[in-house]
Amino acid sequence: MSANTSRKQRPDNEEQSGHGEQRASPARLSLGKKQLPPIPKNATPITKPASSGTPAQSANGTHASYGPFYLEYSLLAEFTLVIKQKLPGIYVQPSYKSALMWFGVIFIRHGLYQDGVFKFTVYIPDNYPDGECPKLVFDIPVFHPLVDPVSGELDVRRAFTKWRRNHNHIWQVLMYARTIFYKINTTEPLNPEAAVLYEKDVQLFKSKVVDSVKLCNSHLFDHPKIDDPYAISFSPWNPAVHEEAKERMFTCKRRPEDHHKGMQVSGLSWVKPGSTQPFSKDDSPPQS
Amino acid sequence: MCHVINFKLCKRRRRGEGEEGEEGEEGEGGGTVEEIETRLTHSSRTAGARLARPCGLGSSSEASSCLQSPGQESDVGPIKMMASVGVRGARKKSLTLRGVDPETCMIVFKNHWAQVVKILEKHEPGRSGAGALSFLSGHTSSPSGSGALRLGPIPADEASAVQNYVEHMLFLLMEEDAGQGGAMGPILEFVVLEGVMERLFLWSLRRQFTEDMKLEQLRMYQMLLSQAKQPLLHHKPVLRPLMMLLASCAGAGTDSGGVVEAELVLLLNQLCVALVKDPSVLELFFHTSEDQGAANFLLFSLLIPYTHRQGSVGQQARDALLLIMSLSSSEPRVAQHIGESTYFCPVLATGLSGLYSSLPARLQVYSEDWHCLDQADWQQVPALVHLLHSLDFCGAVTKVAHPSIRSQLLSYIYNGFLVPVLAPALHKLTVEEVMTTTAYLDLFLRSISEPALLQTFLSFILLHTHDNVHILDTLVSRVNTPFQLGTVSLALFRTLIGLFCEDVMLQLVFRYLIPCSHLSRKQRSSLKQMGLLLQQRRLLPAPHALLVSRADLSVSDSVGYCRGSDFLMDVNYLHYLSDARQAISESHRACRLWSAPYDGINPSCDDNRSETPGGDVDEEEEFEQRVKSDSICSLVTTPPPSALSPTPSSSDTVSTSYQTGRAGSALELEWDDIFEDDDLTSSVMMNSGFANGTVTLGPPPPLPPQHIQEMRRSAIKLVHGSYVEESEFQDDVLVYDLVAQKDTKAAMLERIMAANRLARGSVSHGQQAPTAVTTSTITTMLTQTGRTVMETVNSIMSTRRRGEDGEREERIGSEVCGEEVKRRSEDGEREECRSETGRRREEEEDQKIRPESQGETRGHKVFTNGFDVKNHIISECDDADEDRQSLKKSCNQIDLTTNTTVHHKHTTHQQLLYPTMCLGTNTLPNGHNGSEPHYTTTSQGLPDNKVKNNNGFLSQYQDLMLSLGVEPDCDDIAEDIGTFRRRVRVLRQKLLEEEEGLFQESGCSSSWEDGEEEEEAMEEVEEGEETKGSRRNGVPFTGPFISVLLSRLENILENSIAVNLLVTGILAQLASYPQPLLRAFMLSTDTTHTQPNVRTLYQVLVSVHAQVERYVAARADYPALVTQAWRFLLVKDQDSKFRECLESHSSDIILDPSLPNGSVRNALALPPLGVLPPCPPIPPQAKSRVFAIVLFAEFLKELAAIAQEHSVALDCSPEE
Repeated sequence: MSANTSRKQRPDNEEQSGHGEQRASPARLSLGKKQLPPIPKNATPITKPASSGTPAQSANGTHASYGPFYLEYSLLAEFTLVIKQKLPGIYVQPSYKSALMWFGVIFIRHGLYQDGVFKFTVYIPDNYPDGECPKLVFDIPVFHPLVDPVSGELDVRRAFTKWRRNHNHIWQVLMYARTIFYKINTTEPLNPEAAVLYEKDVQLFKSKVVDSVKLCNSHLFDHPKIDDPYAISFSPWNPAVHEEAKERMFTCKRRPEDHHKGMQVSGLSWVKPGSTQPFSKDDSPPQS
Repeated sequence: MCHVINFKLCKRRRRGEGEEGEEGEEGEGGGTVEEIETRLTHSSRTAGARLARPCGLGSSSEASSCLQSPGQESDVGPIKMMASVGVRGARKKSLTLRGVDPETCMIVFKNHWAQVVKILEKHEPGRSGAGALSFLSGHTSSPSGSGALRLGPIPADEASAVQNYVEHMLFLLMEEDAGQGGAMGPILEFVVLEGVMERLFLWSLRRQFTEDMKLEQLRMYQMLLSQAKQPLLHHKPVLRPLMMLLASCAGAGTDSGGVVEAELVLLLNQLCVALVKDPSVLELFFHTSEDQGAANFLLFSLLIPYTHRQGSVGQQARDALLLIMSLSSSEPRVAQHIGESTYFCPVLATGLSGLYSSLPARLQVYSEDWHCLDQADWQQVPALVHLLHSLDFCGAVTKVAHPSIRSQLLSYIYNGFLVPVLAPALHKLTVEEVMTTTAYLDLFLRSISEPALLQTFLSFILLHTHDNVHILDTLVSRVNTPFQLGTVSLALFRTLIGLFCEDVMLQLVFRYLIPCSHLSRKQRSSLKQMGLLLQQRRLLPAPHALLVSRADLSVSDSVGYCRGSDFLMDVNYLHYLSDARQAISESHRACRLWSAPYDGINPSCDDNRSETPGGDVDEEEEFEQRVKSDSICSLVTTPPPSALSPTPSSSDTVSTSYQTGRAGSALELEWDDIFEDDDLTSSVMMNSGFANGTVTLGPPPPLPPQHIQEMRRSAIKLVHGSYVEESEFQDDVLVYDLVAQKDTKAAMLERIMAANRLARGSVSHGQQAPTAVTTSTITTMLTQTGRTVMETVNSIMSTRRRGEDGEREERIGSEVCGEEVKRRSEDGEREECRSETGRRREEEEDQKIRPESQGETRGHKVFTNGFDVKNHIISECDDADEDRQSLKKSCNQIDLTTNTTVHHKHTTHQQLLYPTMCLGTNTLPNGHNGSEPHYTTTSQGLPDNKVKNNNGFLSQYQDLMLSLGVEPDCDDIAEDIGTFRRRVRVLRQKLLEEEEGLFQESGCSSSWEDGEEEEEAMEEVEEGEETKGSRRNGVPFTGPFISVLLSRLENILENSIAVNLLVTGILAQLASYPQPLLRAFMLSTDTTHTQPNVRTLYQVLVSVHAQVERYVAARADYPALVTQAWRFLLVKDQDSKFRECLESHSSDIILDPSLPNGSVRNALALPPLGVLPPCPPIPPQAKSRVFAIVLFAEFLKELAAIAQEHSVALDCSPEE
């Protein structure tokens, strides 16, 4: 099985390469050597904070002309944090069309939902980070007390009653989405049936879960629900396509070190590790 | 024949080498001995005759020098030979012996040799080779041999005959291939056996061993070495005469225009190349020269004198030396020899010293903005070019040489150049010289690329102490000097910061940040948990907040501009983002080598203290001591009355800034008391501010070193002399003055604000103007309870210092404040008071005018107020002149008050009536405290006065102790000053803590982002309680470097453009460093969590912003000017970037100039390329401020971009 986006396949936690591709998206204005992610003009959901006139925004000091940068970078920063967290079994990728929509997939490796592969989409409010907490919607409603059986939306709000801009991060939402599959909570469920079954008849619950997991996995190779170049799509293993990518993934791990050696390093240090004295290394300078 | 040769040559060239087709011709030519001989003779003769002298190896100068020795018939021979040999050397392919039977060649060779020997023997009857050699060995240094004279002249025809034969022989030798299995060819074997080379050498000695003879021999060997087909140097009979020749050339005179030197060095170079190619010869080199006695490795010894030679000879010699150096890294024997038996390293290092001493002590190049020696500058100074070459060579040697040589060389450079030459040069007497040295040092650091050499220089800067002061501290302190020295020092630090050197950053910045004392406990704990990972989220909003205000600045006056240039702004910001991204990734890459991530966890903030001997407190102490004793730094002038208020009405003139500068000043600027008796006192003020509020821990510091004192005197003379008239100088002094006060002011303001907040906290909302008095009273009461004691401590110290004025002793006990004020006014520091009056009054007015502000934005407003008030002085002082009169009056009044407590109440009541009066009581003490944010300086004059003052001092001390509820213990005081100092220190600490307690417990949330941070207000209160505990770690201090930078930044409006560019550049680079500790400190906007005494970049930015707003608001014409300048600069910048793009992607469709993409162009609204809008007509006196304002705004964008890029930089996490 291979996770594959419709563009070049690249799991999100594979450092900057993923970033780079996003940047190099075709429709964007090129400014010579200074290439940056400009304001995504084709991004539908972004509303100019200033024009929306929310007092919260102006209080934050997001100026009209810098708002887009601000939002964009806030989200990029969030994404960076996600990558740094190295959440086990979770992969996300912002959509091509809007930075406010992230596609994700979560692999459950043990427990009741073992072998489950659940695709989901994160919707970030456009006044992020001042608004509500992001929404997380599973593509296929998983059978779970906290997942709405119709819409597939996860009850995130119970974990983040109030979204605090400096304390809450999207990786926490993702983390939460993972936790619910390992530690099941049945209070105030969105799916009362699942909750009741879990409490009263665990066996039935389990079989329902297995069915649900099977259902999800059977739709794994379906076209992504949302048509987006960066939407996560799966395809059956095809050596012609995937072998090379797999190869690259494995070699990638070794590369950084080679990278180090070959590179012209401009920095200098004669500080002995663990010391805070300058020139404490053994080959310190010959003063006398 | 010649035509044939030439023809063949052409053909060869055309067809490349070694074609088979030649065989026929060669075959027909080859064969008999006679034929070869004719071929040789013919070709060489004709070629030699036709091509004449200067061609071939000889240059025209050689030829002319040869021609200039007339009457020596024998000269014709060698020259001719060389010419022909040279020709043949160059065209040997044309005359190939290929296909010729080697035996035939051998026969020819032998025949020739026989002829030569015949002639040789004729002139040296009965002399064996060995005998001749022994003659030589005692002869090397005086080559014009006596033996030659003894034997009489040699006929010219014989000499030339020998030449011709030798010529042919050498050719045959060169052309001979090695035998099977690398054995010698027959000719070489013959040469070796017969000692041909040696005899030839003796022959040239036998004839007069003139320079020309040497040349001839040298060239002969050059040719053999470069063209022989088999290795010759392996054979002692070849090598030995060569070495003898070299030895005889050792002292090669310059009488022949250095021709011999040139050839000698060329040959040496060739030998070195051969040596590196085939190190097995090395053994022979050593072995052979053993015969010669002392000089073991002749080759090397001969090269040493040329180490520092300029020009191609020097270059060749250095190349050769480098070859040997690289050889040394693999041949320990060579390394050992060089290290132990030669003077190579000392020569190299002391050569630097010598070259340095020939540098101009003052440079003439600078304009006002000049700050470093760039290439165009140093290329005009030959001595500097020379030195840089030698430095470069040193670097190259360190790079390739054996470690033992490297360390020896570096040690010599350190101890033979840096310490004895550069260190004193950095402490020269005049500012100009010091500045020049600083510029040199900067240039050296920039030109050194070899890490080991750089390490030596850096360790000199970081660790060496000159007169007990670290070079680094001296340099840091000079950043704050008014003269161009300050600018040059900034440039030096830009270089240092740009090295990405952990050691440098450790000393400059990190050692102050590692203890994390600038962070609150909460921050520290979160630092530990998260490693500042999440901190970076906080970085984001701040610069934006500033950007808003920045934008407002322009929006307010020119909406049209803003709309129109929005796009430019955006594009411009994109560039900043891109640059920031590059800078951050570069820093990150460079810092991978570092030993620690500096994330607050590693190195740990706890164990650092014990590890650093002396601790930070000592460092600070030392630093301040240094600052104090550094004359440049502590120069204060009180201008003559005429200069005092030249044009008080004109808005942005020197006087304005000057007066601003004086505000709250004088506390930290001083001359030593040494000068108090001088006749200079009238105009140069020796303020003892530092000592005023200080407690000395150790013994009093020694007098500053002689040269510092000297420098002071000269600086004073500068002030007195011609410079005074120059407004530039005044400007500088003023700027410096201003700069130096900023910290003080800030600290002071913080106190005022704290007091205000406190007051407002305790008074119910909505109070109207009348009650403001009460408010103030409470404020004063609350703060003064602490302050009085502080004040007392201060004045005790100052009294002890200044107690020499007997009359004052009487008053000491009672009227501390008043006297303080009076003395100040007597000292001629009226401006300071006046400014403070202005400020204070301003503040009072603010309080009265805006009582409604006490509502929901209370804390915020007040805080801003404080800053505004301060900055308002810039505009306020213009009309402040009239205040002087009232000030004097108030001072007198204050003088009359005797009881401090009463006095406080008194003044607070009087505040409304006599606003100027309160300054004496409130602001001055504030200033006092503020001047000593670190409380660790020393008082110099202390010991002198202690006896005199005992009475007054004791009583004060008792008062103080009593007021603190401690039973004074009078007995020890007099006898043990040390105990006393400790005690006072403890008291001070206690007071500090109390004050902080007040400050913290008042629960003020001076938040910049009230909306979002409310939730943390609770946490803050907790922190307030914690703070005391954390204080045990010592007074938070972020290091002299950062504070100096920040104070220069705060002074942005007064700085020159160059200074501003440097300061912002350095700060931006600091902000780009990936270390979380530094990053957080530079970019955090979280003012609520930093320790109150620590100033962050953000705070300074806010304060500057307030300054700018005030300043612009007071001048109607400024907004327009700023806007114009800004637009101009933006367009210009855009234009240059556009051009860059055009140049780099000339084929890019979008940017194709000939067919510009309409939409892009429209959107950019760029003027046609090459047509820039003219620089707006900005009045010259406003120029620097206008550009400073623009620069400030751009700097904010830059910082915002850096913060944003930091937040998305992936590679920051340590575990990667």
